[in-house]
Amino acid sequence: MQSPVERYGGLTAEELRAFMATHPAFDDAGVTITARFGRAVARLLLRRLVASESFNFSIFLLSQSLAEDITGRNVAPARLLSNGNDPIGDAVWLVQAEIRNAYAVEDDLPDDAGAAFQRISDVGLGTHPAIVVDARSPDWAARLYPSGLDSAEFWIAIDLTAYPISKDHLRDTISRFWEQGLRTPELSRLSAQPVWENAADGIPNPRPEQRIQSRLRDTLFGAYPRRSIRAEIRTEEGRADIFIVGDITAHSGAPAQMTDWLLELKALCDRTNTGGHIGNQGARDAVTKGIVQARAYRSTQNGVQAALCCFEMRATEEDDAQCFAHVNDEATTNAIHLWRWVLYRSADDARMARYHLGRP
Amino acid sequence: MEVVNLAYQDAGTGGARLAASLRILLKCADPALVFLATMPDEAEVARFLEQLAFVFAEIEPDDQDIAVGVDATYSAPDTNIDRVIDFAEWRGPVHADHSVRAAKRLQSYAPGAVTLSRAEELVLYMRLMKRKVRAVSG
Repeated sequence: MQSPVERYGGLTAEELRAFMATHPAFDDAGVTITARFGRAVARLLLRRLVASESFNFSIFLLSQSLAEDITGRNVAPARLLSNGNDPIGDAVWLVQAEIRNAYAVEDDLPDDAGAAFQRISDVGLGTHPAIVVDARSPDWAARLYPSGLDSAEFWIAIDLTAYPISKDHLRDTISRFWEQGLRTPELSRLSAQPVWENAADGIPNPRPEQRIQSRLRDTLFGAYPRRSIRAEIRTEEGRADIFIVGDITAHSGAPAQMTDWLLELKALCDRTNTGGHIGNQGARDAVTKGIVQARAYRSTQNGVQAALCCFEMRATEEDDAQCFAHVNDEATTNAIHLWRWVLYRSADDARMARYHLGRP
Repeated sequence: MEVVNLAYQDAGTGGARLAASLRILLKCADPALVFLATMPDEAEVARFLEQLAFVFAEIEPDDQDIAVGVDATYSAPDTNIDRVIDFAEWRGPVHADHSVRAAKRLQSYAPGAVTLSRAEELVLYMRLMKRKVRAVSG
C-alpha cells in the first residue's frame, strides 16, 4: 500500500486536511478580472468610509497594462493605496485589479459627474472598466461600469453594506444583467457564453441555464462585494444554482456564514439545441421543478430568501401571470419570489415589446 | 510585443547570453484578445490562466521560486527535471500530476455543504503553496 506522501507527491494527506481545517478563504475563486477589481475597490472604499473621508467623486479605472497606460501621462504613484490610509477623494486612479499598483491620474476632478466622465473619455481612458464613487451622501454610492465610462449606460450598483440584500436591490441587479447582456441576441453574442445558437429560429446553445448562471455569478460578484457567490452547491436535494452568502458572527463569537439568497435559474425554451420541439408543457414542468428545487434547497441551507429566476426563450405571448399561474399558490405559501425576463429573438422584437406591447 | 529590458548575461565558460524581458502591448493585442474571448475553449483556458496568475501573484515575488520547489509534483522524487505542472487541463485525471490529485483531494476535507469548483480547487491549492512557502522562507 502506498503512503500518503507518495500519493500526493511532496504533500501528505495530513497537510491537506490541516490546511482545510483552518477554513481558508476561496470566495474570490473563479472571479473575472472586472469583478475582482470591483471587490478590491469595495474593500478600499470600506476602509475610507471608516476613516470618514469627505469628498464628492472618485473614479477608479482598471488597467490591464499599467505600464502602457501611464506612459506619457502626468501620474503620481500611490503604491500603498490599497491599505486605505491615503485619501482617495476627487481623483482618478489607474489601478490593477487587486490595487497592488495604483497611480493618480487626475487630481482636480470636476464637481459635476458629467464633466468628470467627459474628462476620462477625453484622456483616452473611457473604455477601461470603471468604478465611480459618489460620496456626496453619508452612505456612499458606487457603480461599476464594466465596459468603461464611454458606455455609461451599462452599469451595476455596488452594494457596500453588510445588510441583508433587499428583494428590490437583487431584482434590479439581475434586471440590469439581463438588460445589458441577454435582452437581445446581439447583447448575448458579446459574451464568450452566448445563450443562443440561432436566435431567429429559437434554438439555444447547449445548457443555456449554465451559461446564464456563469455570467450572472460574475455580475453578482461585482454587485455584492461583501458576499460570497457560490454556484452549483451540492445539497441533499441535488445541486442548487446560486447561493448568496454573507459572513456573520455566531453567538459564540466565531465567524460563520449565512445564506442570504437562493436563486434557482430556469431557461424556458421551446426548442432543444438540436432543433427538436419541446412545447409549452416542458416550460411549465421546468417552472414547477424550479419551485420544488428552490423550496428543498432553501430548507437544507437555511436560506433566508429564495427566488425562481426564469429566462424566457420561448416565442410566447404569455405574460408573467400566465407563465407562473400553475405555481403561484405554492410560491406564495413558501415565500418564493417568481421573477421572469424575456430573451427576445431579435432587436426588433425587443423594441416592439418595449414600445408597443408594454412588456419589460 | 515590447522589449522592456535587454542585456548580455555571463553564461560561464566564456560565453554569454542575451536576456530580454518582454511584455504584450495591450493596445495592439487587444483586438485579437477580444476575438479569442468569444471562443469557448480559448476563453476557458484564459480564465484558468487568469485565476492561476492572480493567486500566484499573492506569493511575494522573492518567494515565487520557492513555491515551485514546494509544489506537490516538483517536490516528488518521481518527478523528472524539466517537467511542467499540468493541472489536468490537457491530460485526464487518471494521468494527473500529484498537484492535481492533491487539489482534488481538498474536496474530501471541505465542509459538508461545500462542493469545490475547479477554480476553488486551484485557488485553495495555490494558497496551500503560499503557506508552505512562508514556512520554508521563515
